[in-house]
Amino acid sequence: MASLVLRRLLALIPLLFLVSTGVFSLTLLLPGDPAITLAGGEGASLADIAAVREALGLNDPFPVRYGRWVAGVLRGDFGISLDSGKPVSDEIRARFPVTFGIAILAVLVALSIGVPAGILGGVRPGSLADRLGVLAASIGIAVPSFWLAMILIAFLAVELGWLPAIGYRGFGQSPVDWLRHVIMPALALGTAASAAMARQLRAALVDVLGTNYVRTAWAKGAGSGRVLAKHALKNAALPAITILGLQFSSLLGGTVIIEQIFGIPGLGSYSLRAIIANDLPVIQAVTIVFVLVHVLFNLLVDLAYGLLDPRIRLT
Amino acid sequence: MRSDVETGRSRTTALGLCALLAVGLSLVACAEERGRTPENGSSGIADSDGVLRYGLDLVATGGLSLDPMLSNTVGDFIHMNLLYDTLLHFTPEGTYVPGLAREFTMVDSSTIELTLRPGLRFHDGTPLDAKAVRFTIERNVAAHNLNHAPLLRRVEAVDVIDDLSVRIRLSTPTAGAFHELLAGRETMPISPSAARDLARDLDARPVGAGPYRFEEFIPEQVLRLRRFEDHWDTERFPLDGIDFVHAMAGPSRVNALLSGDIDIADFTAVDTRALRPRPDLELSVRPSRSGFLYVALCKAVKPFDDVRVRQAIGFAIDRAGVNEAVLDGLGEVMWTTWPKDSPYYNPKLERVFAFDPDRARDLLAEAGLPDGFAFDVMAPSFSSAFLRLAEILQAQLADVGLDVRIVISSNIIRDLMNRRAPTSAIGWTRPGLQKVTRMFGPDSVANFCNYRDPAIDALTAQIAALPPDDSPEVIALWHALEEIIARDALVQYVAFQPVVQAWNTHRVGGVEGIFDTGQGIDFGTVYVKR
Repeated sequence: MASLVLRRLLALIPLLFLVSTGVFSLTLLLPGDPAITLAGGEGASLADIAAVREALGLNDPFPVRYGRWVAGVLRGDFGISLDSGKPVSDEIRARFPVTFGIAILAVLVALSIGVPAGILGGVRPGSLADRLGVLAASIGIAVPSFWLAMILIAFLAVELGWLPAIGYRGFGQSPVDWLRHVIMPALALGTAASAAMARQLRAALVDVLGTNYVRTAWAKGAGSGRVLAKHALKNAALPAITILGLQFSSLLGGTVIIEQIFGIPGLGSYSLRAIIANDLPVIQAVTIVFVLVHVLFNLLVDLAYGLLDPRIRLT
Repeated sequence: MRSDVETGRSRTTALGLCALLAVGLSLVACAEERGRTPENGSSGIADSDGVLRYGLDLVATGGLSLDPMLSNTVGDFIHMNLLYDTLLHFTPEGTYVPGLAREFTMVDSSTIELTLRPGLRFHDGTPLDAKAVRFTIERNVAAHNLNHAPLLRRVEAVDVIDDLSVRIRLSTPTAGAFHELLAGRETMPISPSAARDLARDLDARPVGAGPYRFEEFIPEQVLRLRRFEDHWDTERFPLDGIDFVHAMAGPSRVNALLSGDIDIADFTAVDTRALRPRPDLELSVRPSRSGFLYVALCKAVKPFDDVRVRQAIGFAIDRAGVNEAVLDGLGEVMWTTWPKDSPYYNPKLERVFAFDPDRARDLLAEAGLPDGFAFDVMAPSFSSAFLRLAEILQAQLADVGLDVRIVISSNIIRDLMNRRAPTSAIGWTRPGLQKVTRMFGPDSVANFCNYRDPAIDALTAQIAALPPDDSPEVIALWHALEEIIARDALVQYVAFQPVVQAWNTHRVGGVEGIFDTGQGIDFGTVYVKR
């Protein structure tokens, strides 16, 4: 298992190099000169602009600037936001727990809905419950998360008054308030993932329950719980976990709109404002953070494979 | 006989349903009381510990400012007025009455004298005296904040007459217009000791002399203010505190009010559709005198330096259509700087740019652009009304051959300064003479491309030297000013925005004074019901 972890971590290095090069290269692709913006815009004098370029090292060759930026990133310094003038690292540090908390809760939503639904359909394929489950999963995949978010607000917040429509409370401030503020965003984000997981688990379970070793287990008098949990689910879970890993990147991307709808001060809403404002340091920083989180999450998925399948552990 | 699998499945289903029911009941139990139904309605008696939740966008234009010196939007006035108070107060009728200053006198057209109330204190206990007023004004003048009224830079000197009295001397005869600044952000007194404390960031922990002191600010979440017991007028304020809760303009803010997350907020015209039919909400709608939609034109770049091009744009805009589409018909078509019910309104300019696409095309042809041309229009992202205005302009101007590309701005102040586009579909909120001086005067971010006209400067100077009343002399000056602006098509006014305020009547009472756009309400009468 340790060698698996080590191999995966080493594989991160070329990946991060490629991603960071691409992200940093955005400076070459986007129009406008950040030095002009920082020097005060079109009204700035040429001397001011030149001074800003020199101070920021913008006259240095691309590899030198890239190396300096990477060195800063490794120290946790992502530069200064062009929009707010504040250190990007401070904002990332404050917002990351917000977005990560919502994403993890969305994963829990996906698991808590997707797994039971998948099992229900898998053990009784063709039944009414199975068909309803397949229909619900199709709807869940088709419905956009932002639309679902607005429906949840209209129903749970406005009509019933059960949950707040906007805002955020930190977990440290009040765990209950935190949950009340993030449960709708998590539901909106996690529903599509739960639907995908349910479908994948159902299909895998149908296949596994028809295999000879499961039939043998029945024949030997094993109870349904034991057959399901010990034999069937372990094998059916692998593709479902793969789906979860793929869905996680969608969850992270979905926070961009969801946080805007719910007025949540996370990385998603931060990146959306940065995109509109052409705030390159923020765009670069959030992209790197999202990629890192996605890669680490998939490392966990790979480790889960190893736990479930000894053959993977040994390769 | 049921198989083990079927039995197990039934048990699992039952357990799952029980779990869902438990979660649902927990959420209902934890739900805050909304007070939205008659059965849950409150008594109507003021709660002495009541805290009002006011919906406000805490992230527009780069984030909330708490230090008046750094303020970059007129919308900051609502919370700053509560934190700092002002030397003069303006009334909903647009007149000025004593605030922190118990007396104010216009000595001549360049000089104003003020006398403070005795015993005033800042939130940190230090005295608010004449020296503090001088310190504040000099600090703000030195900051050269382009979002402050340009008139602030005409302050030549602030003399301390005695402990409570100051004399403000201006370098130009503009004492009449300066009254606006004495009731605005530009002269809100701050604690000199707090400002001089280098370890303290006033923008993070402000210290003023207003009826409410700073308690907490969580960026993008909430700004909490609590009663300052030593305020000179504390008895007038029923509320124990005010929480400004982050709620972006548009559907988020509407949902926040409907769900009970906020008690009161100002809204746009389009929001009224969702707010009107609710029995637990009260809605106030009236035209603004200072908030309006317009199209800014950079006269320094081609082809906008040609008056015929600017006039063509004016004739191509269907203002009544914009009022219907953007403001739900609740605004007022705008031909000059003042609405029709104002004594300064110039009837000669009624329909000066009446919708006439044929005339627009003729003017473009005369200007050598028979096929039209393409250009960018900036629109601020924080308001759906401005974005909608840009979209409608895009469609209307296309009919006369003008190809508009919309550029969305998340920081319109910065982008105006940087001239990210030659035109902007924008809204503005400025009282009185500032509507003109900030658009055409020097060193103003709203003066797109620094346009100057000596004739306009002369007229605004004359108006600024006179008391802000409706004498025939002042009216004649305003008419002359508006005729120049219209003749040269320096800007294309579109419509006055309505002032829309809505509140939850189960939670809130006493909403009587609603000021103009961006000025909030009179918190001295508002209370939270017990």
